[in-house]
Amino acid sequence: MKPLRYIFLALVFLIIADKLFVAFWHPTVVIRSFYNWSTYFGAGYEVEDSSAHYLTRHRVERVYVKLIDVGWNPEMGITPNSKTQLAHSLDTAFEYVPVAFIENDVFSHVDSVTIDQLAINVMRHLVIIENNSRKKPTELQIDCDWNQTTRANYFQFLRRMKVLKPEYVLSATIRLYQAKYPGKSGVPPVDKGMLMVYNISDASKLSEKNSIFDKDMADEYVTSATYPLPLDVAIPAFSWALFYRQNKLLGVRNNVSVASCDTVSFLKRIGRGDLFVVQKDTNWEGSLLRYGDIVRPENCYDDVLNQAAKIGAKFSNRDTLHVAIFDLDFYDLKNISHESIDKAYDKFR
Amino acid sequence: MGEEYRFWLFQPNYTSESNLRPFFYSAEYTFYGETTFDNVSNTDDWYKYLKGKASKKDINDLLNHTDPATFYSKSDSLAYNSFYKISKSRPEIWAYLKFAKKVENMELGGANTSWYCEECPNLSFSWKMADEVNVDGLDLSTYGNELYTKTNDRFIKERIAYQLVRLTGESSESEKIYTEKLLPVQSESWVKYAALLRAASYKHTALADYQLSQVFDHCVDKAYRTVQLFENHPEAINYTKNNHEKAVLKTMHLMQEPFRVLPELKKVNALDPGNKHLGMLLVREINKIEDWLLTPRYTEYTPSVYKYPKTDDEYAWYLNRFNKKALAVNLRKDSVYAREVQYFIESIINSNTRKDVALLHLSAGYLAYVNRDLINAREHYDLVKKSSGFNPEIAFQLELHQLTLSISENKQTPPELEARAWNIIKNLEPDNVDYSWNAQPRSLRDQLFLMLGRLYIEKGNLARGILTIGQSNAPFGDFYNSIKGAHHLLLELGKPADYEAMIALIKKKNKTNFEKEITKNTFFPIWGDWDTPKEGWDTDKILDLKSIYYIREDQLDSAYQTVTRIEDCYWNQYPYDLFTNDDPFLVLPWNTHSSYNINNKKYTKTTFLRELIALKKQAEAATGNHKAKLLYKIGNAYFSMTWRGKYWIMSSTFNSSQEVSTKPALQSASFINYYYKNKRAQHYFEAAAGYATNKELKALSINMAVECCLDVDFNTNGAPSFKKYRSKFGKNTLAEEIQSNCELFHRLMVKYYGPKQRS
Repeated sequence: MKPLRYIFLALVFLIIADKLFVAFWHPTVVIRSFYNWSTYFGAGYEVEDSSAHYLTRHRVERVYVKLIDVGWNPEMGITPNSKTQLAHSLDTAFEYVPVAFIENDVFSHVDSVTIDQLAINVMRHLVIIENNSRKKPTELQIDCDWNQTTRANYFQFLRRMKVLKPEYVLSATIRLYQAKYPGKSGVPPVDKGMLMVYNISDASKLSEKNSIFDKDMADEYVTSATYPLPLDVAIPAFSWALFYRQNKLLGVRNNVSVASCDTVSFLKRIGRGDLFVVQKDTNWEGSLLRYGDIVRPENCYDDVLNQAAKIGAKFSNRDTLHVAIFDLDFYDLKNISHESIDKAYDKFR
Repeated sequence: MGEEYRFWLFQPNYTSESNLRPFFYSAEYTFYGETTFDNVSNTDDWYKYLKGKASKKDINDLLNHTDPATFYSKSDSLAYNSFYKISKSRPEIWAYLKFAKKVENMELGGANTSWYCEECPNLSFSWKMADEVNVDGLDLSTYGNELYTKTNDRFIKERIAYQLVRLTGESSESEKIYTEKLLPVQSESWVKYAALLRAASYKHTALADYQLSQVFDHCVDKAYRTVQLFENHPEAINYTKNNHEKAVLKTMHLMQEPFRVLPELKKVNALDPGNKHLGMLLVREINKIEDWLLTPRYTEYTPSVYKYPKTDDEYAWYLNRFNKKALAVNLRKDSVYAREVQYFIESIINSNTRKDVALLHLSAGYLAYVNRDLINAREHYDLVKKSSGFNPEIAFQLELHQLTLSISENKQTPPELEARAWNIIKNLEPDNVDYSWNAQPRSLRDQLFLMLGRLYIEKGNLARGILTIGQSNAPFGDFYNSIKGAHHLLLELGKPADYEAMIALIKKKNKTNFEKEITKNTFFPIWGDWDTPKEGWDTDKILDLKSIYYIREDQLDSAYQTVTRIEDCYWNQYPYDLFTNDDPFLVLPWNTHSSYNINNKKYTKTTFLRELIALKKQAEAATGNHKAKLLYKIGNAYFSMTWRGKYWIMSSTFNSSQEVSTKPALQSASFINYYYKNKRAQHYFEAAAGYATNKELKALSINMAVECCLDVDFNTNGAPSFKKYRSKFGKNTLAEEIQSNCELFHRLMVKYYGPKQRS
């Protein structure tokens, strides 16, 4: 009889444990999202006609759409570098979050009056999306890599934005080092943060391996402390090539895969890493390269994307979060398998 | 792209104030066009207030064309502005302008700067945003309110109140300020109504509709915005105080309506017989009727508005309507509707309530003309000049309509009429016309050429008709996946005499101006055609097209006579140079477009025809296997001239794989049999098989006869045809073997038709 009693007790224990597990463990709800960083968006633009199909395939519910890119220069002052052209009527299958990218330098050149004016100008360019989408957006996002010098002005700007449209959730992007050191960097006065798990190291240094994402470096930013703001997470799926001349960063060209550099006749691979040297003077689609310049293509495709997702998941601080892949550009997306995209989202569950 | 091909002749621009141009009828949008207009009313108000001491131009410049940054920079350009100078000497005005320009800057983010964004909504922002944007050390709101309290000048006070409304965007706060500070003022000024727009636009209620109608009626520069915001709440009528206000409400609704509105138009007229927008609304109706009746008449398209499904429901509706039967029913209904609108216009004329009687007669006459009631049209046109409201624009439009009427009335088109046409056309050259009022993709010149061309064709003068249409850039039909060109129309409709008439007109020595115009070397080409004439009409091209006519009719001698009139160098040009190395007399069944030129011969249309005619003569006299051998070559030549053949350019101007799936509806059965079903070639192959006693020649002939029977969609194989020919010519296993053995085929071809075996 004894063995039977043990078996019975073990069964009861298992059933209770299972119930408890189900009752207390909820998988994180991941709302699949994407960034659109190009200067046009929506049906009617050649590439974007296929993007709705792509997004639907990956069960994406939200798209962060960059609408304006603001910079500063001595002649023009604070001025939009680019504005995104939106299709007349955006696909109702998705929720949209308008995003403004503001160069950090802008906040070195503002005073309290211009901050107010800037807030109005930026806000007007963000809420324009209300005209194009039947679903009214609920969130606005500001992307700026602030530092200690610009922090006060940037945070004042964010407060003004919130005053202008209090009905919106206001979010701001957070870099990894800002997430690790909130005391030093400050916590922006917004409702939510969007942790960017990319652009980790200094691209101007030729010695970096991959400035977009370097797993070893990213690991160093992981912390046990919870960030004071609810966080969503953005992970990279893009490529670029950095050009260096005499160890100085010369320029950047988007959409360059490592594989494509191997096929270009004027580039020759050097060393063990993905570094190439320019063999003859050439104009590479607008970038004037000279003999001896160094090209470092940086890609965030399948493996790197998943490594970034793994790191990003460690910062997750709530039950439901948006995970956004950067960005909706088919030059790069065609180099990434559909499985890798799905896997990256699933890393957060 | 309905607007691309919508037919119109009645210009809407001269019937109303320029600010209403966005409401001209269009197939694509309810209304379109630019929306920025100078605010003349406010300038006039200032001019009167200043008792003429500043010029209207300077007032307009400072108020409407000086951005805040320039105003505050004290730019030299302002030093010469009389309004600016006076303002500086009048503290109240100066204080107001400083305030107004700061508000403008806050609101627009600075127009004419890189931040300017016409589509961006204006923001309602609180004092908190404005507290550091100040004038003389005070935040804008405080400054404005203090200025309002201090000022006794009613004119300035009203404007400060307007700026305070503006400062609060479009919100309940702006409505509150409007109600407190502007509503009680006994004024019909522009600023009062401009402020009302702010107070009304956020509400989406019947009251808002009424208020918007008030703004529409008083601020010309706000008309577009008010109609955009207007939601046509039925209860809005309860707020109106008189019939004029009721009519304005209806007018705004009618400007949004793309379909028939005659009953509502009648109501507007009954409520407000002198309504200033009625003329414009009538022209909208005429443009709609033109689209419904004339677009199908002068183009091969259905009315443009029918072709614009935007939602799933509309698409279903479109599919139901877009068939010939439905179109015919609609045409009848639209014709009846045109008559009803005409009768309505005539009733207005008879009521003696309007000043624009010239326009009304022109409209009624044109509607009669559209309905082919030429007598009635003439009666109305004759009264236009004698009627009130006659002006140079109406005179031009009258001239145009009288011309088309005269052409329709005459069996022929006498030179006098063409001289009149030329007088109109020369005024429509792009350099002579300001098209800025009307951003339609096709100009009146294009429409007129298309209509005149069609009228010529209706009268049987195809040559003039084709040449005239050739000068129009207006699409008038589809050609497979492209737009039909005048030369396609010529191939469709032309007879030999028409081609010769065209050539005669092109070569005519003392051409009239009109003739010079239609024969000039600027033929508008179509796109994607193999044979797009690059530099317009020339006689070689017309002769080439004429030869195609003869070939389609199987009149080879006439075709040959025609091509011998063409200079030899013509065949060295694209696209004929693509065919030089093809041997049309030998066809490779596996790839019938292959040049398959085992004798390295070169051909042009001329040499091809010459050889084919000679072969036919030889074949007539020959017998037995020799005859069969010749007939086989003739069959190949006919095959080569078909859609599946390598020398299709003998019979067509282009070749597309899509031809089969979009079989041309207008092509005759005989052409389809010849060109797509290879019947002529088949006849010769069957004859060759019949005469041949040599097994190999018989096999080759049967093989090609079977090839002719293949379905043009390539959905069938040759088996059924072999069966058919087995019963006709006896069993020939070699023929079936050839079909799957290209080496054998080639060996036989070399044996019978190779370099040493020429017939």
